[in-house]
Amino acid sequence: MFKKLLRSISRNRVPYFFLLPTIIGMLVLQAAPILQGLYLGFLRSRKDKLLDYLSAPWAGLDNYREILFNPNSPIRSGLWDAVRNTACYTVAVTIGTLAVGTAAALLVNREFRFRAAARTLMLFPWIVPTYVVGLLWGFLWQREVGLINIVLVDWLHLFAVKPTWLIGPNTLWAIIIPTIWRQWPFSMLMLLAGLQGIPKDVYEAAEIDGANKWQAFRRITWPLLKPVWAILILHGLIFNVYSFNIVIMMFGNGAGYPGKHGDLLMTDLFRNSFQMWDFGTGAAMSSLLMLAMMTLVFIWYRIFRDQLTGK
Amino acid sequence: MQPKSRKPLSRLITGLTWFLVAVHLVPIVWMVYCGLKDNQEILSGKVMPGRRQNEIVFLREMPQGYLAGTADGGITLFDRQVLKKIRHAELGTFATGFLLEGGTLWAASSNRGLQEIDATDLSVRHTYGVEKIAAAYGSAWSTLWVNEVAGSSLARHGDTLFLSYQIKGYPGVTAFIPASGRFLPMPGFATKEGGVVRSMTRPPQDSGKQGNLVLATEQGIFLRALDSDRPDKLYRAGKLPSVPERLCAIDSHRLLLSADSRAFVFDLGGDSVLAWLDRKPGSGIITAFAADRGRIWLGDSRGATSLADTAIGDSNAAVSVFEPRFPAVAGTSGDITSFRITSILPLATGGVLLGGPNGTLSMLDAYGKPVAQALAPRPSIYIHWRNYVDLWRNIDFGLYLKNSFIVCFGVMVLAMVLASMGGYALARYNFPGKNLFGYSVLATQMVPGIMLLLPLYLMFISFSRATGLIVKGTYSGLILTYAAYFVPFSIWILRGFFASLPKELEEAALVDGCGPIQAFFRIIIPSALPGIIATGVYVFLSAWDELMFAWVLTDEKTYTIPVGIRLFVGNFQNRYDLMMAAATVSTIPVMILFFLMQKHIVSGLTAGAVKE
Repeated sequence: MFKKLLRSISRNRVPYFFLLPTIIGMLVLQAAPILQGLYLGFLRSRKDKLLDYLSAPWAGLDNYREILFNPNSPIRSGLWDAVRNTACYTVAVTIGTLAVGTAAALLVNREFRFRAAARTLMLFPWIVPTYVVGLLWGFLWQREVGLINIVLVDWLHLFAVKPTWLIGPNTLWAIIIPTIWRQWPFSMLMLLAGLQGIPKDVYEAAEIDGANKWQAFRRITWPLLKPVWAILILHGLIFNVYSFNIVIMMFGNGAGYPGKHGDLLMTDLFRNSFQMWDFGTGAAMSSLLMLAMMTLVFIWYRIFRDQLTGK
Repeated sequence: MQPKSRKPLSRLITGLTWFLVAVHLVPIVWMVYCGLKDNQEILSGKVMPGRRQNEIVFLREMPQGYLAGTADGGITLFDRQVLKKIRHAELGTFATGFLLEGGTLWAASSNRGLQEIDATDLSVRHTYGVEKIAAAYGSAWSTLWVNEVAGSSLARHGDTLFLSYQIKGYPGVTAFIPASGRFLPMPGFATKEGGVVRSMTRPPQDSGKQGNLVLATEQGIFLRALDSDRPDKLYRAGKLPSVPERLCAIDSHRLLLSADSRAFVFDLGGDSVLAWLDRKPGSGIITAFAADRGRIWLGDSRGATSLADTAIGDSNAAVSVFEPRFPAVAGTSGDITSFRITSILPLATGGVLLGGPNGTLSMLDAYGKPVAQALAPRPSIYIHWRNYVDLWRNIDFGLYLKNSFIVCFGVMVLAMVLASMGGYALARYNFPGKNLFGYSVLATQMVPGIMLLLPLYLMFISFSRATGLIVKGTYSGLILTYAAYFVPFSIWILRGFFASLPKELEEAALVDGCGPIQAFFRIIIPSALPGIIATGVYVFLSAWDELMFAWVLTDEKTYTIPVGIRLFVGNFQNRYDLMMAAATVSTIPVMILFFLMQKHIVSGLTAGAVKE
């Protein structure tokens, strides 16, 4: 048995040699932290016990009970706000990104002058770092000095009074719109590549067969874009559930609380862990989040399995 | 097909596309634009570019004519009769303070330090830079707090020049000795105790308080004895009627002070408020004043009022009003601030020369009748670079930029070395555990960052406690963490690149007698280099954008840009101009990098989308 293993290793020594540093790195800096994180969720690792590391007092399921079932816990109510916001945010951003991205991809897929320039200009916001997006839009949403209110109220007179964007229920929009703004160029890029991968003669054949534009889109473009959509939905799911920079930079300038309607899972978790210094519940929440994410990815896979395997 | 009938629709759609592009780019344009704006303009909701408010802060009489200095460092000599421009010079400075002493004009500014100017031909004789002032305070305070030098003022005593400024939030006064060109810190002033120095003067020599330097600070009026060992004296703001903002000496023992819309006279001999100057209710904020030739002058947004200084305290004293007629300045709105008086020069004729914002001048005779008006020239092209200078001087932005470059470059190199090896192994070899490895690489992408961060933080600290090797707060700690985060993703992308290379490449190399490892480094890496570089740039961009790990795992020596920006934004809540300048600076490097590599990155990222 042992000999067999050794022989197998020696036969495959080249790939193992190539992968060895990566595997070590992943074991030390990914696998070990994840396992410790799962374990930390069962410890009472708070401010005073933080440096006890893994020998902090055992808490059993207390952390989980606190965040899931204790009706008086501020952590729990904060978490549920964050879960609700994150769900709305993720759905809205993913749908918005795909909608705008598809429309833009179809617009740019036509022949017109300076098409390459238009495409490049569209990509601009996607290169702006997300923390800059938060900072920039935090400024744009300002009630008095922000450009959005200046345009909406002072120029277009759409509202009688300047709306407040960064406090109250509007905050959700204030974080959704910048995220769509930053992300749709990426969707457009991927979808455009998908569109350009469709051979022209397919459309010509369809036209000869008497199909109109809509039918051509419905029967040819749509099915061929589905796998790209699948990838983009997964990307949007992971990216937006774990969204942190935009929100943290937009509110309270990186130190404060984004409010009941603007708090996302990552900002809530981060605040709970690195400002309240409660690692135990933080780790428990991250474990739950990881579990939820895996479930979501599994559901995603079940839905799009056919598209991905090319059936 | 009917091309003619479809053309308008096609044009419409093209127009729509460009409209979308334009709207889409507005935030970025606005970011760059506001980074070049004055914060005052942003806060007042001014959107369109216009002439900057550039007030005349300094007016003096010279044998040749009147000398006018503007806050942005323009010096102009005007003729006495009709205010014709005789000579003009541009210093290109911010928030300039002036002092005329003999034939020398001194200009103190936040960007150029102290400049010595020949008052006759307006040429700069010497520049004593900001660095020199800062050096007087040692390396700990190596940067000037330039934003607040706006309150900088100059005073002279014997052969010493006094200059007030702020260093890293701490107000300071430094003495400058022109003969030796040295700056000497004045002990006791470089503390928060004194508060921001707003104005500074020195009463005439013959006073009982001879040799005092008088400063109006946030804390009150500060008297510093210069000649003797007498202790400093502080008239606390709480005991004064209000916090003084401007002050000037009326004569040897009386000071004229103002705060907001009130002015009062302070007696240095009796150490008390002598009298209030009555003003009509709603007269507005006092924006300038002067005391000269037995009269006191107050300027506000409506004009200048003057009364004899013998009538101080007499509410029935005759007050004369001088309403300036400033020349119209194109591009300025006619709001009340554009009629503000920013400096006053009483003339021997009994008249007055009034300076206003936008470099406007108005001369009135003793009866208040406008005699002449003038406009100080200014550079035709003006770009407000000040925010960018401030970014470097106020905030350690250079350090953050350096740290970000070191970390991102380190991650890029390390990740590319590891990922090209791993990607190649996955693409070309079949080995036990290949699928397991492939799946775990994908699975790492689903783990929330904070799940790793909590234990990593504790791991780093415990590791340092156990071994004495510091990891948290070092470049290498952050680089390794990032590499672990980005390598799996890069392996996944590079696998595709390697798989697309023809197998004949290695086969030829193996035939030539290379080992597989040699073949990889000699043949495969060069062939796959475009893909590797594109992936590396993508890793660089992602690392540049990372805030959460950097927030926790860096300290003040290794703060990267996002952490640095977050900190400074917390400290300057309302400095939108600085924030936008910082945002622009942190976007430009990645933009350049992206556009250099655009083709490769786009093709690399979309490769998967097309194939599947």
